[in-house]
Amino acid sequence: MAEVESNLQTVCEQLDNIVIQVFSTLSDLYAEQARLEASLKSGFLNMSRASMDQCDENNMSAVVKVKVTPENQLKSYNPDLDIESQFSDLDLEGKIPDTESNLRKRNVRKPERDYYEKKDSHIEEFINKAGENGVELKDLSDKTRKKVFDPIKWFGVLVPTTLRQSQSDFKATVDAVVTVANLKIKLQELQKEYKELMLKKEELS
Amino acid sequence: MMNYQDMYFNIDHGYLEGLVRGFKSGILKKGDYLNLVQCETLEDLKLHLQSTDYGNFLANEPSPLSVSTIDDKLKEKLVIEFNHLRNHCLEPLATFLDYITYSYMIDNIILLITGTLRQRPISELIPKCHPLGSFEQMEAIHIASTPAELYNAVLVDTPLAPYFMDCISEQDLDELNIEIIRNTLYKAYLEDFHQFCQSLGGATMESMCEALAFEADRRAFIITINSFGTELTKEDRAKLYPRCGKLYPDGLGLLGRADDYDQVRGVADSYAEYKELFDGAGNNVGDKTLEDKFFEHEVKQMKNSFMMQFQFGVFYAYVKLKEQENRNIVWIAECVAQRHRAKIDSYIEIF
Repeated sequence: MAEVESNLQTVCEQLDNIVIQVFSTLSDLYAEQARLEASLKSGFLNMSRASMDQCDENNMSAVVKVKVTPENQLKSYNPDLDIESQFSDLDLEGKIPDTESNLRKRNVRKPERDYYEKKDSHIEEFINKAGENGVELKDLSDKTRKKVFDPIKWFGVLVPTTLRQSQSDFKATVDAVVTVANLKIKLQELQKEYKELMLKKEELS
Repeated sequence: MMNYQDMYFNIDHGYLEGLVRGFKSGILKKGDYLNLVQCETLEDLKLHLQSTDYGNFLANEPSPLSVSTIDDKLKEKLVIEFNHLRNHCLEPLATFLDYITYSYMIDNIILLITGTLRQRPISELIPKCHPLGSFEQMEAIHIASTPAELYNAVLVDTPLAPYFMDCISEQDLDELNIEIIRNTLYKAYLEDFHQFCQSLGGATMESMCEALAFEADRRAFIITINSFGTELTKEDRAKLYPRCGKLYPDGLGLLGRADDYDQVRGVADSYAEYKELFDGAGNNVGDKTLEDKFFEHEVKQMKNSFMMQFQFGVFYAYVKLKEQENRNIVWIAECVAQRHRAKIDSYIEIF
């Protein structure tokens, strides 16, 4: 009996902690959404401002007409025009190894990572054996990223400061979007955990 | 001593000067802007503009209105007025008005070069060109790999041919070279326009040389600031500065060696009128940007030009003031369309 009461007490404490976390996460989410909205507004306004400041509107006409495909990729209307290769020579950074990437990595759970690591090592062994047997295979372990091009160069070289500010605002927007998505996932997990604990509490009581 | 030019000015140009002064009186006043900033939608904006000199210029446009449509129609009105002036003028006013159109021609050429190099069809690019800068050979621009080919094939018969002398090279046309071509052309044009105004003499020279000197200096400052962090070298940058301004030669020399905004500001501090512009500028909330301060100064100069009679500067001033008015209306329309009213008052008042 005492044990059941103790368990019930623990479950209640856990529930309280989850509720506090939910409110804290909600507060962070609202703040982040407000920041996202402000960044987007500022970005669009600065873009309009850049068009005004440049006097001649032609500078603000991008040189390539692009569309977003259903797969959420950027493609030119001209099927023969590959955007990345066309503008890759404008990039100053060159190839960047994956280890230096600033992109946030997904949280991969340890057992799955071990699984993939084992799979990669198996592939490497296979490649090495194939090499020994004189068979040439494509190096699948190349983790370097493609050249990244700066889309601001679509508007020329001497772009106004407001357009650069607009680009910074949109970059901040991308970060904010990722943060909002992560916070929403966290809220969903907390919700799920709360429901499980409520069920447990009902069983105990 | 009496200036005999003033006595004969009205014979050839009096009607058009009167006309342009009439156009000028139709420029939006403070009260008109106060009405416009209170608009909630673009339809409200359209209604308020009907009570101004613009009248029913948007009457035939279908709903919903867009900011780009408003911009196009505003431009169209200016073009109609300008073309009327151009069609009724005599020399040397005709040449003077042609000079005003050359800046738009340069922009159109650069747009067409850039667009065709990126394989956009010419039919898509022509509507984007500024109507004041149209010329016969515009649609004949095809893909040219070097400026030399472009010059020989198309531009040799245009009024801009003399300005290409400094741009002809065998280098391929890429983004950096196109930018250099644009600014080199504009530099040659500005210097030539300045020389032409000097040859006219009198009040035209007085009014226009000051305006063009400011334009030259403004371009020097903006090119310098915008070039930071790009692959444009200091040597290439220095070649783009027009030499008909007050900064020539010492100021331009210092600007050519500047590495950051503070050094540019240091150059401006040596010139009283530019020091004032840089002092008032900032990127904080509530501050005016440097471009705004330049626009304000230009508006002041253009308004002063109307204080002098019997000179061609009023035509140039009218075009500039109308362009500023268009920018103001488009800015207010953008703020209304984006529902971002915090900066809706950031337009430049004219009268």
